[in-house]
Amino acid sequence: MKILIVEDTKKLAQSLADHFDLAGHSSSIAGTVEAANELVLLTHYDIMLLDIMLPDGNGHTFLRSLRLQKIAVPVIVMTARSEISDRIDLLDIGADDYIIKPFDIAELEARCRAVLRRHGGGGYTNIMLGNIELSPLTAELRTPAENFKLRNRELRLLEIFMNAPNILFTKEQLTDRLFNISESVNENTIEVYIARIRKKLIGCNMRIETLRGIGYRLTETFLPK
Amino acid sequence: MRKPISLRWRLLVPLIITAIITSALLYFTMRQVTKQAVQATQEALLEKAVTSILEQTRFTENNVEIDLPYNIFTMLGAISEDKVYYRVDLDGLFLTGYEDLRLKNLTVDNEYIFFSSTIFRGVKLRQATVQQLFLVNGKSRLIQITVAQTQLFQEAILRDMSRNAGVIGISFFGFALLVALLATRSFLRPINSLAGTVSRRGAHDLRPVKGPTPPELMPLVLSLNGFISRLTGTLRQTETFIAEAAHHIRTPLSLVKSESQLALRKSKSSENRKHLHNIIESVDMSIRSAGQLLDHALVLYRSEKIDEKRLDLAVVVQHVADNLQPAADLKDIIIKTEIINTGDIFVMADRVLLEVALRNMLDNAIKYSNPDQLIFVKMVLDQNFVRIIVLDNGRGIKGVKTKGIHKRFKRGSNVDDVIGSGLGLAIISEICIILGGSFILKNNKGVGACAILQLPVC
Repeated sequence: MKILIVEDTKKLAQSLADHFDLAGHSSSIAGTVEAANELVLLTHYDIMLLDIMLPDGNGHTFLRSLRLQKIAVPVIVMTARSEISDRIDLLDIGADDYIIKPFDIAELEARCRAVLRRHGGGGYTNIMLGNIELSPLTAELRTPAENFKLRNRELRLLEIFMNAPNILFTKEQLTDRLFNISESVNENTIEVYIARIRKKLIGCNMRIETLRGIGYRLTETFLPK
Repeated sequence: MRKPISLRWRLLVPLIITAIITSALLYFTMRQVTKQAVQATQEALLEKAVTSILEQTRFTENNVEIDLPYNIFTMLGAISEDKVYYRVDLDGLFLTGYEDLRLKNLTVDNEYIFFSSTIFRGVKLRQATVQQLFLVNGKSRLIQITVAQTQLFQEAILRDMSRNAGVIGISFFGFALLVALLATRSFLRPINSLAGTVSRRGAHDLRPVKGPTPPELMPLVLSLNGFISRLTGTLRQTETFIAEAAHHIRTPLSLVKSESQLALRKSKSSENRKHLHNIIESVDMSIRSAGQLLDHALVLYRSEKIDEKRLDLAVVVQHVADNLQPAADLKDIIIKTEIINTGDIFVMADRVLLEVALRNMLDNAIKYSNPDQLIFVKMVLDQNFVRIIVLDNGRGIKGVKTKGIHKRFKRGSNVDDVIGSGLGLAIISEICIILGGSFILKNNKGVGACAILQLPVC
């Protein structure tokens, strides 16, 4: 997924870009309306994250001009304002969704997926490993035996493993990625989700291996002929 | 504290009292004048009678001759059913007439006609008495003539006149009251007109009050316009402050949260991870507090600038639910909305405030729900009200003291482990008051909590 982050707070923009890069996406940063306009005209982006208060203009005006130019890039507005009427205006002028700052990265990713799903999923590539294929956009896991619709946490867990095959993840790391810090989570909760995925991977040449006392990793197994 | 007296009564009461006094004075004056006129007429007739008798009195050598003028008695008796009595005394001794007619003691010097009232045979009489000294053969003789008449005619006239005076007095009072009411109405019309002009204005209409105003009301209008001007400035400042505060608080917090999450993801040291956990937890707490404080400020600001519109409730609820679904997805929670037993439901409300209330209700439901659950949002129409019911499968409020839970910074005793500011329920309750509704939080049948927002429909 190719993302354009239009945000004038450079450090925040870079931080978001780092998150997306880590998740295997490609991101560009524009700190002004002018820079964003140039990038949009030069390159195709799958989604744009747009801040409203920019130094050389207003996000509303920029978004309206994009839509007038028939540039249909999906836009999620990142707003710090509480005014819901502002948000309603944003949807009216062509924003696909909005998220109120500060937000959880996982929520931003979920909103990006939802918006891209509505736009037909362009740019979001499926992940293939062994004989399984994961579509993060539709939350589908395709195995030789069956196709599964995954729950949100199952999807995010499998996505973590499939983006980094053979890499070991501790329970703590997985818990941090899957749950909100404020949620009271038992250490063994992660095992429930691991077990659910393992059940779906029966008969596949990919499996989640447990390294006792250390963690889990996704590895390829060789099926008997 | 005593209730202040209205301007209408301040004006009306003195006018009514004046009307009552004037009407009473009119009644008694008319009655008195009539009484005096009738009495004067009677006295004139009685005077004529006694003087005529006196004129017809002649003394001979040893006798006195009195010629009673019957025409006078006829005239006196002809009036109504009145009766006439007379008495003639000579040298203090009864001579002729009605002896039991009481005689007024007059001194010898009195040579004028004297009028008095007396009771004769149980009937009230008015009588005229005249006396005169005659010199007969060198000897003075005193003759005293009294003519009396009953007062039936006078009383009849007085009765009629009293009735008429009463009718005139009441009519005058009625007329005066009408004039007082009209005058009060006319006096208050400019004030009511001014009040109407101000109250008919829309929520955002903060233009100065203009139009023809009586000079006496000009100080009030000028003060009102001054107040509107100050209010406009304050609201503008508040709006700008909220927007800027939101930007300056939320953006740095976004960076702290994003960077902390990034650092947590990259960190391999359990010690560092623990510290980062603490940082993120504190940031989340700050985010929640800042967000809800800004929401609270927004509610207070909007309560002064409320913008009511006819809203399709299902559309608003669905919009809020859709917007929160990605956040709910993170816990594998599904938000289901449904309208029970009815079609479209419209409410007259400020959309911003309504959405803030619904967002807080759903946010609480998501926050306290366990993963892989359903949250139901039901809209139930009940006569003139609609109940928006949010049902979750979380920990509920069983065994929790709910008294004061709607107050600011108060939280249930069973949610210490979950990040919260204690403002969510206070915000919902305050919005309910502004929108003319009510809010109840109770335990769901089974598990979880049931939050009910009741609003009037239109």
